[in-house]
This record gives sequence, structure tokens and C-alpha cells, in this order.
Amino acid sequence: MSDSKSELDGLRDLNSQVISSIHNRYFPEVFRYARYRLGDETLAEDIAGEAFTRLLESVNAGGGPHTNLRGWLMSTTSNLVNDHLRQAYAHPTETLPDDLEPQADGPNPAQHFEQSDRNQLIRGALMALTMDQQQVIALRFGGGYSLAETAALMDKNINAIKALQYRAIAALRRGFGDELV
Amino acid sequence: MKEYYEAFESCLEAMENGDSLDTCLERYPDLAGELRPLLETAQAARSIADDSIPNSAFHRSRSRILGKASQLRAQREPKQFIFGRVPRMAMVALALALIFFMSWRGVIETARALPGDPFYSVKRSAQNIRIQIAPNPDTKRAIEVKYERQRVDEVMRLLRMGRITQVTFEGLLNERTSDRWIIEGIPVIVTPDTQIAGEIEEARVVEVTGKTQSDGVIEASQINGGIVVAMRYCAGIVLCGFGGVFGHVEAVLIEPADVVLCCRIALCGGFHVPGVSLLIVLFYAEPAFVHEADISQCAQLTVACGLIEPETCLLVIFLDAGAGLEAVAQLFLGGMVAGIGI
Repeated sequence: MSDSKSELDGLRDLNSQVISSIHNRYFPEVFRYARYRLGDETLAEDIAGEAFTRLLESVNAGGGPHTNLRGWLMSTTSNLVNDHLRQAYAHPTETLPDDLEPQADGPNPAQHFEQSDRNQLIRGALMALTMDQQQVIALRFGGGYSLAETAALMDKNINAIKALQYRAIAALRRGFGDELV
Repeated sequence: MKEYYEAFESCLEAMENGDSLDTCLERYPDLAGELRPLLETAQAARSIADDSIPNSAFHRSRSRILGKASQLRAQREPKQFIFGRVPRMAMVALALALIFFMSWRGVIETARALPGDPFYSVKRSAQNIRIQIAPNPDTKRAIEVKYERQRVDEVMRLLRMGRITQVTFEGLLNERTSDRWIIEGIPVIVTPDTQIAGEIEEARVVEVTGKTQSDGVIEASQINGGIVVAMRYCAGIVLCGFGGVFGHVEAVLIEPADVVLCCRIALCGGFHVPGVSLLIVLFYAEPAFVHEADISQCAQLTVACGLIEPETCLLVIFLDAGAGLEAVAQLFLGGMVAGIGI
């Protein structure tokens, strides 16, 4: 996908209208991707904000995307998430997951906690996968990207993505054991 | 496996379009047993996706990004020209002084540059040229070894400074646990994402690529083992204890734990004749760890092998295949020292 030249020119000029329009269009998918990978809204907001900040800093320094703005943003977000997870692996801390708090309009508390346990189990198994496997699952099943879009975002061909997603799902399944389904 | 990938993808698409899991599997009766748990897992992976976007997060992010844009725009404003009233000659003198200062400073900065510094690529290019124009293979290897050592020193400086940057270096694997390795004394964190290639053994040389962290460790992205280094053979002869003042020199074999990193003792023996004790030590070292300080350590070890204080030795003859006279001349052990490069 190629973004219009005038939009990229506007971005390089740090035009507020263009930046606002880019933010409105891409923030939702950047945020959703980060939240799926991390399971934490606050962290996802920080990572998404940082991805946009880096976009501005890069174009201001003469770098940044030349054709594919969405690809650049998603790739930067993915790198930021990977960096965060590596830090978290190196210095693990105990955090409460976002979905632990029952919602007023949601299921009853028993159902909520059952759902929350199930989500934690899935997230725990996801975190044990390699970064590439986590990324392909987040894009395909978290973000609903097509094979072709995922291949473009991960800079791989479609066959490689098919194989990677198959192995990722198989690894995820091994991570669950028989506890989930 | 391709058949599985295709069937899996086809079922995913069909389920996205509203088909049930069972309907989909009916199309692949031979693969159904394998595919069912995977498709259930894919459904589970989909089930934790959340399409909602919190309004507050969206607006906070937009304010932040527009604020950042405004800040960057302000930095782009042209600086006020302050030299307008300075006489032309003074401007020329100032420019010349600046060029002289910057070129001299540039040389110093280049020599001190660390990975991530603007001058670092200049430093590495200059070093590569020096390696390329080395007159013979021995000199070339000696220069390479010196620069490999520099890479390690640079990484240690970056870690002391708490700077985060990409580095690559070679070093001896001192210790290895599942996620924390010590390489050349540097703690290296190995994550599930770290690519490990080649044969990894403790006390062997590995190549590390990774990022320095502010807490004094490196997060490795790649570690390569199986780095082959040619052995380098050295010999030391120590003439000690004239007149029997210091007693006999006993033949002592040093335990591996006592051997400094640079050297491995191959043979250590001595004999005593009236008035003179002669100690002969043969050892070898890996070139990656031989530089001036190591050679000095090797010579001290030669002396220590005979349990004699270095000061009591009158003559140390140090033979080193490959070090060259320049390195051997660095030796000084309290007495008269002679070095011969062979």
C-alpha cells in the first residue's frame, strides 16, 4: 500500500491537519495491535504514542516512511512491543491484567473470572512463543489482517506466512495443553 | 506440510465467512484429526481480540502527537544570524580557527568514539584500512586481535556509561546459565528470541551481537559459537636464584584454575645446579587474548610457575612465536628482560 505523496509531504512539513488525519486513521490499528500483544491498555497507549512520536522524529530528521506509512508504523510498533517484552523477560514484575475488573454491563462475576482465567491462559501461552510467532498471531487473529497484508507488514512472502502461522498456532496449542478446549 | 498449511488456511477463511468448524473439516477428512485442535486454538486466539478503542486513549494520544509536532516545528525556526556585525577578517580567522580546532578534535573524537557515536564509523573504516594494508598475515592477525580487544573495551565503557546501543564483539564464554551468560566478563542476557548458532562451549570464543542496556547488561540478538582461533605457542626460560640464596627451583605443575585466561601451561619444569636454578616453561595462548598486558602476565606466570618472586629473577628470556619484538619489548619484570620474537 502506498500513501499519497501529498500526505507524506504534509507529514514532512509537520502539518497539523495531516498529522491529525494520519493519527485518526492509524491509531486504532496500532493501539489494537499493541494491546493484543501486551494485554494491557495503558502500556498499549504508551507504545502507540511512542510509535507516532518516533514517526515525527524520523521525518523531522529526514528519514521515516517514503511510501508505506502504515507498514512503517506497524513495524515500529512491533519493534517497540518486542523491546518491551524483552525487558519484561529480563526483569519480570507481577502486574494485574486489565480484564480482572468485572464490568458493570458485562457477564456476572463468576462468568467474568472464568473468562478472565481463560484469557490469561491464552496470553500466557502467547508470551511463550517467539517474537515472530507472536507477531503473526497478533496480525492475523488479533488484527484480522489478510495473509497478503500480514506478509507485507512482516516483509515475508505469503507462503512463509502460511507456514509461520501454522507453526505459531501449533506452538500455542502445545502451550495450552488440554486446559483450554 | 504444505498440504496442512493450505488446508488450515482454507478452513480459517471458511470459518471467517460463517462456516462451522465441523463443516470445514468435512472437506479434509484425512487431515481432520490434525486440524481440529489447531482450528480450535485459532478460534481461541481470535477470542481475545478486542476491537474497541478507548476514547480517552485516542484523544490523549492525538494531543501528545500534535504537541510533539508543534515542538519540532519550533525547533525548525531559522536561528537569528548573529555574525552580521563581525568584520570580514575576523570571520575568516574564526572560521580557520574553527576548522583547525574541529579537525584536531575530530581526530581525538574519532579515536575515542564508541558504537553509536557519529565518528564511530570513521574509526572502524580507518581500522579496516589498516588491517587491509598489513604487510603480512602475522601482522594482519595481530592488528585484528588488537581491534577485537578494543571492541570488548568499548562494550565495557558503554555499559559503565549506561548507554543503549547496538554492539558486536568476540569473547571467551566464561559461564553459561539458561538466560544469563558471562562473556569476556560481560553479562549477556539470552532471551527466547536470541538466535544461537554454532557449537557453544564454555572457555571457547563466541561472537555476540546485541544491544547494551542501561542496567549494565547486553541483550543478545545473536550468538555465534564455533569461532576457530589458531593456537599461538610461546616459551619462557627463567634464570633465577643465583648462589643458592633462594633455594632450589622445584618443578611445579600449575592447576588449571591458577592459569590466567591468556595462557595454558603445556609444560613446566626446572632443575638446579650449584648456584643456578633454571626453569623452563612452555605454554600456549589463544591470539584473541594476547596483547601487551597478557604477554606480561604470561611472563609473570612463567616466574610464578617456579614459585619464585619476580624480583629474584635476573633474566627472563621469553620466546613468542607471532608476537613480534614490539610486544615482547613491553616486558619488564624487575630484572633484566630479553625478548626474542621468532
